[in-house]
Amino acid sequence: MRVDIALRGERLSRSFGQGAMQTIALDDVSLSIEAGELALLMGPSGSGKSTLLAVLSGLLRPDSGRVVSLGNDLWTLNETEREQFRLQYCGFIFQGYNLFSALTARQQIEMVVRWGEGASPREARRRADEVLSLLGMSRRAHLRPVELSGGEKQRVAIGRALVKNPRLVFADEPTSALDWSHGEQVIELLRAAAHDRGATVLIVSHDSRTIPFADHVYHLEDGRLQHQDESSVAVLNHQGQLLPYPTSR
Amino acid sequence: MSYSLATLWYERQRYLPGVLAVAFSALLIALQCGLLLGLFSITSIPIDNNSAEVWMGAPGVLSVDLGRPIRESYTARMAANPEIERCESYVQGFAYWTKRDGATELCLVIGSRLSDDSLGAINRLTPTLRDRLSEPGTIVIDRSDQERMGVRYLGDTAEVSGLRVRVVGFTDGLKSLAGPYVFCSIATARPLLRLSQDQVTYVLGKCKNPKDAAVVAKRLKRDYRNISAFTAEDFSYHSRKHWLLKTKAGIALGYAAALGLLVGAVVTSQTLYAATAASLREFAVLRALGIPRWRMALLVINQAFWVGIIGVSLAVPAVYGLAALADRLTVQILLPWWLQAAAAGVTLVMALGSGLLALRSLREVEPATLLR
Repeated sequence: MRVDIALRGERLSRSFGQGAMQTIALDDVSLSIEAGELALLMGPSGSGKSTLLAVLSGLLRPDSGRVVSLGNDLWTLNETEREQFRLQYCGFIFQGYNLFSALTARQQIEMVVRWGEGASPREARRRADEVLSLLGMSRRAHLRPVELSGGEKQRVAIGRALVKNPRLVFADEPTSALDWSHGEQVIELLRAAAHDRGATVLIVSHDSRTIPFADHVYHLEDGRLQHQDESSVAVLNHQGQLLPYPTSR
Repeated sequence: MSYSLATLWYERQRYLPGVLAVAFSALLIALQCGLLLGLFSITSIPIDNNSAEVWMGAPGVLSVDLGRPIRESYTARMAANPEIERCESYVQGFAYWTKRDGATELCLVIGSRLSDDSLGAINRLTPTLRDRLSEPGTIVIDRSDQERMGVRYLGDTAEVSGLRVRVVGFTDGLKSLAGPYVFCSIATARPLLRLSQDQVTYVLGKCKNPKDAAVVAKRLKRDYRNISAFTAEDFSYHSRKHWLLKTKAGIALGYAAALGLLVGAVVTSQTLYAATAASLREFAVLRALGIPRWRMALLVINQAFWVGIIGVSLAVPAVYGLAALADRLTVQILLPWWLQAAAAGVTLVMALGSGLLALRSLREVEPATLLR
């Protein structure tokens, strides 16, 4: 069977600082993520997983290596082309909700469609309402962040990422600020985006409870991708596949 | 509602300093300039309050109160113009007013014909007052100057240029700038101003058709080098402009208005900068999603525009309120529509400029920082 690779990182390295202060965040990392799968990038704090997400998503230039995203060599594009690429294909969910405090849930999502695609206010509202309905937020559309719970705010942030129907979704610790019942809902939504909408979802997380939802788990330590046959225990995912889960070095 | 207006309303506490700074700037500009106009409109009171349409005086006259003597026979020059219906003499000049206690005060003596159809008589001189002024040595002053001139009651006496005068009436609302106005007949005025019988300060004219005043003034200027001639409107403007530009008062008030504008610009710009900086993470998410930077810049400029509009709207009633208050304190503030429009326009441009300055905060929007 032909495997459709949506996102490929080849020998990616990235360091911060200089001389004695230099920290290596990524050290010769290569990985491939298939289209329509939910991949989990795990590892302890400072392991370089957020840096890898930034490099793979076109937000941070690697020192070396290349990223091929939907067939585009991402870091050979100029900034405007990369911006255009992100606009067309990428959705992002960051730690914290980063919602405009003055705008309602609906406006946060509408804004992306209106400003990103130049959609009319009517069209933007229709699309925002569609996504909010999908996220079970229709009745909360008129509320501002201060009136929403943490889980609801994260759902709005997900709506903002998904309203463009992106082919790539990048999420950085999307469940870290939520209790597990809300975290589970969030992961379910992202899994649905991958399996139902065919988006490629890459999630950075250190929450082991997210593993059963993943199609693929990558483990990063000290900027290096760990081989999956290293000391690990197996976890059964929702499709009944066994996924390796490294417990420690 | 637009995103910028929604933000402005929801975070009104945050934007309030900017709105108030704009309002303050607009208020200061309008009031300072209105005060200036009011102040210098006083200089043209003798022109603006009588029925003369053409003024002829000494060459190079800078302002109505700075007229120098010309020969009365020059009246024939104006009368020779076919457009002129009639013309008459007018004397005016500064003289020393001596109070009962011996203190002196510079005053502006204005002597005009006193008949009902007089061109030079100030229109607030009622027929009764004009009638009383026909008696030699009698004068009328404005009630606002009564105390300054040491006049205690109607019929009180004082000295002008060493000659005794008697106050036979008061006008209202003719405030003076350089010196109090002293209204009288031409016959009374001449000795007070030490003018000879064949000297006048101005020759005033009235045209058959008021629209011809400019033609007459232009012809007089062209035909005679040793006089100057203006339409009443021009002379009024000329007199105000002279005082506006030649005195330090104009510069000082203008400077204060400019300072107000600068303070407004700094406060507004800092308010918008801080408000934008507080949303850097949200803007960074939009940048990550590929939303171009100019969209966010437009939002900030839009906010600056609304801060300007709201600030100016707040300033309008405040300007009228303070102008009314000033009026009760006998300080005249003139607020013609063009001044209000200019003050609003300048302040709006200032607010938009502040928005442009605040855009520097957007340079710090970097989506990769959300992933550290």
